[in-house]
Amino acid sequence: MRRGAALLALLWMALLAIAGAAYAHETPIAVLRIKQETAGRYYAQWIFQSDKGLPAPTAVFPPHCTYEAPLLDCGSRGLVGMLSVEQLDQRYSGVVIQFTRAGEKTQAYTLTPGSPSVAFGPGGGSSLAALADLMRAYILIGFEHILLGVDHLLFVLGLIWLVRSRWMLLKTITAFTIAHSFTLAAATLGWVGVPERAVNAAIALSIVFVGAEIIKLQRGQIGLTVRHPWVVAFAFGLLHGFGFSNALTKLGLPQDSIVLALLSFNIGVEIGQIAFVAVVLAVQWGHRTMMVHFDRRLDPVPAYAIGGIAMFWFLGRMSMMFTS
Amino acid sequence: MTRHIGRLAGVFACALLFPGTAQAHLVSTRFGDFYDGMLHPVTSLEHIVPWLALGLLMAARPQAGRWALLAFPAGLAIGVTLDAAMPALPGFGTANLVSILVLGGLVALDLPLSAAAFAVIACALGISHGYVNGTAMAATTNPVLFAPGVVMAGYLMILLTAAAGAFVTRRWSAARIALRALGSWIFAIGVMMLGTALA
Repeated sequence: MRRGAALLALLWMALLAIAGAAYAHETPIAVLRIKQETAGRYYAQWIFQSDKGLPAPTAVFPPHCTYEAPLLDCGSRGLVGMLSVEQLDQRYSGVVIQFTRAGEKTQAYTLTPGSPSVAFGPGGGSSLAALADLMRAYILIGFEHILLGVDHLLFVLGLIWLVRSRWMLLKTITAFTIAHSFTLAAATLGWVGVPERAVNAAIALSIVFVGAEIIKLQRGQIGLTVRHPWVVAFAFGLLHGFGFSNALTKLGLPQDSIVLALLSFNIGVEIGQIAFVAVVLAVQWGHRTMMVHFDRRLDPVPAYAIGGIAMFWFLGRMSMMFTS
Repeated sequence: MTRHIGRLAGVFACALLFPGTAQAHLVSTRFGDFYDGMLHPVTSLEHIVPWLALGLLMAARPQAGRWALLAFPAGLAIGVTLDAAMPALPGFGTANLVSILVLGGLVALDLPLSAAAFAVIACALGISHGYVNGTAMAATTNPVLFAPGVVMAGYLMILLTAAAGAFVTRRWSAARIALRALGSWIFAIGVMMLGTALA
């Protein structure tokens, strides 16, 4: 039963891996930086676009503004009014606008296909609706990140494979969640800094470890993860949290709502993780109920596939550390 | 059994004579082509109803029905590939609607289908539905990701429906009657959908 579910989930992830996820997976987000130069004049430029070479989305500024890249002239009224972004749903899942008025701190706004525009006032605090928009946007980004994050899902799959009791699985997944929430918050808030490429390589290695643990179990040896699954999940969860934070910090966070954005992103990650675990458990149950049996010769295949894919990522990420 | 399969083949052949009614609709999850492929079939009744019906058919005979778990995804993969190789073949849309009638009827009749019959029906259904799902791929869609998404959706849907049906019918014998009643409703839905499409 576990073999079947694991094989299916592995196919899922192997296919996502083909899509270029061998390296750190890309969240398709674009960033537009707008910086005030003088009264009514701004410098507006896309600073982060897709690694895949997708063109930047089109920004539509308030009608009284004229934009000749990179200069934005809004006259005496300044940048007040609605800014919207086109082609959001087609190419990018979101756009972050980093807006810096002269002498003020940078404000970040996240636009999504559901809310592709932002209203700039002359200043002032955030309304309840704006906070709800922000939460919705970051929950979606977190959800998307985990579903495209094949490496994180593969690690969770390995844990599901190794942990036999449902109660222990709950504790293990909870430990993983708590741990990655810690490091996600710490790294995003700037309390700790870890090099991104090293983290990505180490994450790949953590999956190789889980693959080896599965092989051990099949040979009748009781490894560390089988003995203390939640401890292993917690330890590696700390590592995976750094991986999540790399994606989040690339987006730029709204400085006045950083905790809310962080919390929302984490909620999105958890929703995605729970959905994945639920699907794997449902497939296990389905196979059990339908009495689906696999040839015993297939036993080692999932574990070697997990280990093989992860080692491929590890080598690729290590080479990136030293070649660029 | 061979007679039943022969009749089914006849129905599918007749369906292919009708003009194609496949209505490709583009679905975007923004999570990539794999998830787009997973989502596409579950956004259309033309796919959901017969897939659920296949699951219910399997639920009535789990031992033989589980072969559909292999044949249906394989058929879907063949169908999507066939669309990529030979696009715009007529008749698959209508065949899908006819499949609702056929599967609904089989569930309602509760015929003792063999493993081979399950495999043939599931594979034929898979090819037809895979083909129509394949037509939803845009020029920029990566078929290497989209097709497995469709296959995964098909596998999950028939497995979970069959397991839920088998679980319920093992515990309550009355559920078997409910299953057959459901089959007759599916047959009726098929009549309506086919009638609307051909009108």
